[in-house]
Amino acid sequence: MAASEDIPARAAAAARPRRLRISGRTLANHAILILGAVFLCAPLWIAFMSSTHSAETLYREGLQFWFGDSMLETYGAVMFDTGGVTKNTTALTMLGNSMVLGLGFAIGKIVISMTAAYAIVYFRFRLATPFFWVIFLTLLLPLEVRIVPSYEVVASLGLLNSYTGLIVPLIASATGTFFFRQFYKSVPDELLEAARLDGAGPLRFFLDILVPLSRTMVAAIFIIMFVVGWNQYLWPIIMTTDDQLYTIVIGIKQVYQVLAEGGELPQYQEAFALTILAILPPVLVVLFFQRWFIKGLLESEK
Amino acid sequence: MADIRLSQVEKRYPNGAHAVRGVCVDIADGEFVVLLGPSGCGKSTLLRMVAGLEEITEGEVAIGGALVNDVSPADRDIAMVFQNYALYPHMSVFKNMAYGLINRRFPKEEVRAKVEAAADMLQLRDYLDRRPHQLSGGQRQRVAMGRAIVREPKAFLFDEPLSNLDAKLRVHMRVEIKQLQRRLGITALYVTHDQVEAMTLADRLIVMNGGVAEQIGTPLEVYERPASAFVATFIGSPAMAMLRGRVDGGALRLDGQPAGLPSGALKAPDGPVTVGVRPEDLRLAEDGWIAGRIELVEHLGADQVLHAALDGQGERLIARFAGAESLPADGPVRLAADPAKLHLFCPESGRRLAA
Repeated sequence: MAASEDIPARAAAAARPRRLRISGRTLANHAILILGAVFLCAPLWIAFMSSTHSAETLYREGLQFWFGDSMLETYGAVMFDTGGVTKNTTALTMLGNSMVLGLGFAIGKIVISMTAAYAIVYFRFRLATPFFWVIFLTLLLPLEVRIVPSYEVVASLGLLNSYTGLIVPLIASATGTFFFRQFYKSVPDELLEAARLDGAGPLRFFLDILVPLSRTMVAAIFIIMFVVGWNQYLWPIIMTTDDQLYTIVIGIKQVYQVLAEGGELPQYQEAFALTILAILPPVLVVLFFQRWFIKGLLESEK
Repeated sequence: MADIRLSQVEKRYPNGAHAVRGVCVDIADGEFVVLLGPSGCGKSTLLRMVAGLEEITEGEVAIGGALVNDVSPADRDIAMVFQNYALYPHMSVFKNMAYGLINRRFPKEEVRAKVEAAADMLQLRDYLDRRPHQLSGGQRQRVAMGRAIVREPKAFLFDEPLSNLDAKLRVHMRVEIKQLQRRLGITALYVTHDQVEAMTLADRLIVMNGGVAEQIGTPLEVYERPASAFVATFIGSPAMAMLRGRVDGGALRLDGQPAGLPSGALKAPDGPVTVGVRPEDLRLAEDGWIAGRIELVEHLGADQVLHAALDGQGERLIARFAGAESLPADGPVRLAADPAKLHLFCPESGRRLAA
């Protein structure tokens, strides 16, 4: 990250000539920031460190603060061993499922809301505004409220335990439609008129002009929606009864259920490892797209 | 290349606004016609109706002899240059200019050849790979022109293309547009509210007011024989002074003024008139028939401009004199003008009176 590298460099350069006059205020600010960072990172650190120890160590000595010696063993078992966490599936499968859900959720939402907003903004049909407000009103009806009828519908379509059933009911998005609507409204009308004179039909205008102009919007919404999709819990757990379709978030819950039921030595290290694995992909998506997103914002060209 | 024929064109918006009222004009092949008027006079609406971006409520628009009322903008074979250029921000200059050709399925080599030819003509050859936001205002304007000329359309439509440029560049681009249009011989319809632009560019002017074409004629005709009081005050800077008076047996007497013109000076029917005098037609005269009081004198170097309040009229007039002879900064003043240079209008209808 170029930005974060040269900010300290510049700050250092600025501070050097008057190094002796670091004010109490600066110190206090840094103290607060460092404290906050530690506060946020500590649980992650503990979880990661603990996941590298053996079940016996954890059982005997509690949470760990430094690397242990069974990291490969634990992660290997979690990733590839069906006997590991839940009895019939591996973390790898669950990660795959989560990835499908996250991507399908984000891409589906973007495609649906872009096209919906395109219809509302650019096509003159009666009731366009009422339609928009109806879509907007669905904000008041999140999945949790309509989960029983949604389940009914998906079940009667025979889509239980399928990716389609997992993703499709979630992708209608009032927020996305709203964001894209606002964005399209800010695109100058002359662009549409110029495109019409250039012989671009509605589809060409959408694909050649609007979609490329929306890149930054798409990146922003993708980040948010991927993370939201990845973290879906209620819908997948109701929808799926087949282990092969479990997402990583459900997997974590299953592990703790096993822990609670007791019987054998609790596999805390595996639970921690699974948590770390579940966090990684959203973090990577945010890190990767953030650069792209900021670049897009700076190059705003409209 | 083609002529454009507008007959009885009307535009009524659903909210009842009557933007264009019965405009009729024939634009010859290769002619440069400027639509001039204050904002909200319907000039842009008229242009957009020719472009096909606005529906035509009534009347007919024909381009090259073919009725185009129900033809889509893309199929009218016209090109338009917008006020804010409307360049596609994410496309290179090349792609911006080529987009219309690509959509019309021209072969690749032909597109390249046409765009490069246009780029050469507009000195954009070195900028073909740039994005619009990397160009200056004048260059963007040229790209917009380039996008119009690559298609070799039947007509160019310009919607205030120079109003986003600074004054110096505007003069420069004005000349460029005129030369380009001459060279290509393509019919052009140009909307502006800037009368200098209009006077210099136009083969013919259409002066619009309140949706009506008040006068259609060459710039000189419009300047010398304005058809209405509106055209008279709109064209010319500083604006023409408008004096209230009465014609009686060919004699003119201004309301509330001591003197007047003797009988036989004017060939107008008896009755009240509005008398228009251009600032440059006024001269100082001890026994002048226009009496007023000097309010301000502006020295512009070559010219000086005198602002005066007219006695008994509550109106102001502006007079312009060549030279730097010193004028008093205030006090009474008498002015005169050649009766032949006066413009007489009907006070009610504002139409020109035969004179």
